Parts: sequence; structure tokens; C-alpha cells
Amino acid sequence: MKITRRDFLKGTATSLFLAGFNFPVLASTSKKKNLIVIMLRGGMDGLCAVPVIGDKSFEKIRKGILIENPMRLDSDFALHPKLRGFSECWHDNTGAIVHATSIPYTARSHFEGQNLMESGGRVPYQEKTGWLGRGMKLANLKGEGLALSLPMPLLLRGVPKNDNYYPSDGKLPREETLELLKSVYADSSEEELLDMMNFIKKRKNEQMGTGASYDKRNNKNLAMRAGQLLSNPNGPRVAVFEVNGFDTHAAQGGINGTHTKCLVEMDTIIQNLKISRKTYANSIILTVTEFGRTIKKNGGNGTEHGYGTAVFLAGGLVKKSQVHTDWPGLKRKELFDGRDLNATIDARSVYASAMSTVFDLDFKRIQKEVFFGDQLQNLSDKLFKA
Amino acid sequence: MATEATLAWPMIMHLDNKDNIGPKSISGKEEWRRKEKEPATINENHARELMELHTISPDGGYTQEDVIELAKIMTGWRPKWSKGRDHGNDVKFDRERHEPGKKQVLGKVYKSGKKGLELAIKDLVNHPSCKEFIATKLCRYLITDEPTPQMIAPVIKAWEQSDGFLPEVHKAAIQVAFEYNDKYKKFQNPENWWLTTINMSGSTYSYPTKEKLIDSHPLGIKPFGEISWQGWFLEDLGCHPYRQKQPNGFSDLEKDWLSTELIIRRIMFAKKAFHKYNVKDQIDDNIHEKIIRNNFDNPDKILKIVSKAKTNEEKHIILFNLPEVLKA
Repeated sequence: MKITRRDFLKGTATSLFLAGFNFPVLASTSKKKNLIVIMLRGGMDGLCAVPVIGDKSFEKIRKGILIENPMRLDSDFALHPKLRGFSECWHDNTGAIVHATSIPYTARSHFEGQNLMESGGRVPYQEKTGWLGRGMKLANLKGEGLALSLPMPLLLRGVPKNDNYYPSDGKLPREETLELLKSVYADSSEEELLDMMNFIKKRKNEQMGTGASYDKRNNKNLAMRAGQLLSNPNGPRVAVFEVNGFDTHAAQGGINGTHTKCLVEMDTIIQNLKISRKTYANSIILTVTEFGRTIKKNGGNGTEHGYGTAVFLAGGLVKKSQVHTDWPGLKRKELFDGRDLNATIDARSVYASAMSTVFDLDFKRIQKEVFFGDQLQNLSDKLFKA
Repeated sequence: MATEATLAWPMIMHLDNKDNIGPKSISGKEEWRRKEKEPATINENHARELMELHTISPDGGYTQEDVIELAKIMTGWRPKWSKGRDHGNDVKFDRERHEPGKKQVLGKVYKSGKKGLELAIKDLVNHPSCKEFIATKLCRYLITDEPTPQMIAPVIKAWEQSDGFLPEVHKAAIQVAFEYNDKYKKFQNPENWWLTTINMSGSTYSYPTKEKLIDSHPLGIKPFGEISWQGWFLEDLGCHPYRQKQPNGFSDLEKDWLSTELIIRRIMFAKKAFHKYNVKDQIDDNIHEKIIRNNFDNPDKILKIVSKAKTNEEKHIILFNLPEVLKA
């Protein structure tokens, strides 16, 4: 008798999870593909995370906040030495970087920038939905998005019935109370509230934040939990994390500074998603940020809002470890506005390629229906496994 | 108010104006800077937020050049040191750090010196984009995510008639909110919902923290004990008043608060809150009827819904999560 994949997975879900590290074989045969986006809020400094090697003027200009002993990636680029999780991905050929990239936004405001990194548009505050939400809608993925934060990020909006997981203390009331509340919402035609009650009733059987829930809400544990949920064949296919605090105008610090702390938080998410091998093997993890930071440090050992930055890619669906870039150079006239790393790749090309790979959608359709027909480059073959 | 807020210590400190030093200022030319390789630089952070968040918004049409020029006007404002340290409450204008020369923001020229900032702020708050920005924000907060020009117009008018006197502007916004109350119901953010539940409960319930205790708390001391509970309740509901990480504050859009997790938090909060009331109120079988009769125009309908619940605790959860309470 032929066993379908779904049935097989149902039967073995528990043993699979318990097996943890030692069960990589099945992973590659599963077809449920996931997209995990980590939003780096505040402007991630691509040149701090992935510095260029052997550029004397760069080293001089960044003196004081330059990262020492970076890990060499290839002949031109290195990795921040504290990104141990990502360096493992690099070594097992599942970690890649797209450098000198950005969303097409150059006005350097966090709020506009973050709005556009999530909406995927060109005019701030014009779109009320996110590029990921629109992509999911195109792929008809209702109720398959999960935000590991509160409240629902713009990025995921545009497709109904997404969920948040960010547990609080205590227990939900008994089933009958929830049922009654649900019927109240049904009677008063409160569709949105009604939808939410359906989710809440499901949640009841899952882990609530009993015990040290503060711990459950840190990104490390949220990532572990998301890894479990995504590995469930009936679980979500899209997850979104948030890391705050990249806006280091002052005291950015070198190897142990604030910027490093934020990068390590991002790294921890990748590391802990990887614990769930099956999830990791069938995923693209991708970072987004609103802009990079100026090359030059300011008087307070910080950096100002810039333009070009880097995107981190990890997961089993990443084609190979590589730094993909069309490097614009760091000489004065090569810089954007004479001060920032230029962006030669529209970051939305990476987003669209990732969605095309994970959601099995035609790139052109994504380009047209998610990104308003803007000129984007199909990087699917270069960056991801078909 | 914009001037006072801009020059408040926390703003000068945390929006990095302490590091905003004119490269051509006296301090900027000092010998040690060259030796230590710590050049004085312009820090744009505070100047950008002043235009973007606090006055004219991106609709005001400023450029990167305007941001830099405004930042130059702001050079020199820094925390005030006395007795060898920064006490964390005063700021001063340090002439030696101020960038010399004229600066031009949005086409207008400002002279060098301490007075430049106040003049620039005056022009920013009188800019048409500032009125529209603030009026839209007020209507959005009070009425709907997408305010119409008809809603905004009376608020702008009140601004113009009162020369930007905020109590008059607020009054006009509240007036508009009343006029549209039947047509627009907005899902309330956690803080407003929480305050609504407290108002509804009234004096019958001994909850939350006693006013007397709050009044006796000395200013300038970090809340502790029972007084800090309220912050934690709000944290649990999703909007701790002091912990929003992005400088644009919490969202005014209802859709940003319509989330499963946040509804879970409200349900759990309503349950927890019930057990914080006086024992005598908890066991009073008529307590919910009293509350409903005091607070609703259609008490019988509400009473009918709530009476489907069996226990007082359950009634409490249902009552405070009715659509009529969640939306206003």
C-alpha cells in the first residue's frame, strides 16, 4: 500500500521531534516549504556584519568601530566573528549573503523605511498590506502565517487569518466560556473577532505561557517554538521575527557593542530554528532591514542612516554558501550621495525570488501582482534550490 | 510645547543631540580632537525626528539638506553638567559647540546662535503640513483609521483660530468624534480598553491601584510595588507605556491591535482582574447587572447576553470582551 507523505508525517511527528538532531534523512524528502523572515529594525549595518576585506580606506574611516578578527568568507568579504550560528550555516553550505542591496528607498527615515521594507512599495504609507501577505494571498495560503511578536506586522497583512505566537502568563478560561464568547461574536457579525476565536480555541490545547513566560517570549525560545510549529505538516508555512535596536547613532561599539548584540540576537534565531532539522532543511530564512548605515562613523562612535546593506539567507533551500553581489566599491565617487554604500541589487528581487521558490509561484506573477510590476531581477536560480 | 519637548533632557540625550557638534565650532576646531581622532560631527537624529514625528511629517516636503541644516541649528544643545556630572534633568546651550554661520531650512534663513532653534520650531509648527498632520492624527486616534477631509477640517480651523492652542484643538477633535460616533466604531487599543473597563466597574470594585496611593507617590521616584503593577498589566495587554521601542510610539490604527494573541491577553486579563476585586463584590450576584445598567443605553440586550454565562467570573470575561466594549 502506498503511504502518502502527509499520513506518514502525522504518524511520526512525535518521534521525529524527539529525534531532534539525529533525524536529518527524512527532512529532504518533505515538500512543505517554509519562508522565515527576520526583520532587523533600525537599519542594519551591512558593513559591520559582513565587512569588506583589504580596503584600506574603509578600515581607516571605520577606525574605532571596526570589527577585529572577522571570519574570512571569500577573497573579498568576511563575517562578524560573533555570528557563530550563521558561520555554521556557511560551513554546511546553507548560508548566503546578498551584499550592496537595499529596498529602493533613499530618504533615510526609519518609519518610512520600515514601512517600505514591509509593504514592498515605493511610496511610504501608501500600501496597507505587506509584500509577504500579498505573496501568500497569491499562493492562496490563508491561515498559514505566524508572527512571533506583537502586534501583527504590516509585512504579513494582506492575507486573512494569520496568527501571533507570543505567550503570556496564565491559562485561558474553560472551553464553554470561549464557546459563549464565540457565539456572541457570531451573533453580532463580528467576522474578524470570530476568526480570532477559532484560532484561540486551537491555541487552548497548545502550550500557553505557564511558568517563566518572559523566557518564552525571547527570540531564542520563540525560534525554537516556531521551528516545531513549522515542522508540523498542518502548521504554518510562513514565520516572521523582529529584532529591534539596530539604530546605533552613538556607541555602536566594535566587537561587543550594541550593534553586535542585535546581530547576535538575529544569529540566535537562525541557530534555534536550525534545531528543528526538518524545518531548517525545507526553509529559506531571510533578513530584511530598512537601510544600511553610513560608512563614516560620527563623533559619537555611531553611524548615521545610510543606504546599501546586506541580506542574510540561510536554510536548506539556499543553493550554496556565497556572497552574491555586484560590488559598487567604496571610493568617494562610488558611494551613494558621497556617503553610503550604494545598492546595486533591489532587495525586493531577493524577496520575490524567495517567494517564487517557496510558494512555487511564477516570478513574473509575483513581480506583477506583489511588487506592482517594478523592474526586478529573478535571482531564484542563483540563490535558491528549485 | 514643541520647543519645550525638543529641549527636554530625555530628548536631547536619547536622540543623540549631545553628540551633535558643529565641525566648524570652537569645540570642533580644538587640537585634542585632531590628536584623538574624534572629529566633531553633525548628528541628524534629533533634527529628523523633530520634522518627521513632531511637526510637519514627511508630507512637509523637506529634503536631506533641510535635515542637515536643522541639525546644524541644533548643534550645541546638550545635557547640563553641574558638580561634575549630568543630573539627568537640565540642558544648556553650549556656544562653543554651535556651528557658526547662517543655516537655511525649507527656504528660510536662520542666524547663528541660541535663538535659532526656537525660531525654526516656530516656523515648523506654523507650517500647513504640521496642522494637517496633527489634525489627522487626532481624528485617527479618536474616530477611524482613515479620517476624511471633512473630519479634519474643523480641527484645522480650530488650530488657526486659536493660533495652535492645544486645548482648543483637542476640544474640536472631540467634538468631531462625537458627531461621527454613530457611524464609526473603532476597535480600541489595549490602554483605552483597559481604562474603559475601569470606568465601567466604577467605585463598586476595589480595583485598580487606589488613587490615594498614586497621589502619595513622590515624583521623580521610579514606580515600585503596587504602583508599578499598572505598567505590568499594560505590558501584558501589549502596550507598556514606557517600553515602545520605535520612536514613533504605538500605532493609532485599529487593525494593528486586532490580533489573536492580543485578544487572548484581554480574555486572560479579564479573568485575572475579576479575582482582584473585593471578595464581597466577587460573590455579589447582582454586580454585573449594576454595571450594565450604569453603562449601556440598551442594558436589557446586554444583560441577556451576559446572563448566558454561569459564574460571576465568566460573566466578567464576557462583559468586558463584548464588541460593544472592545469598540467605541
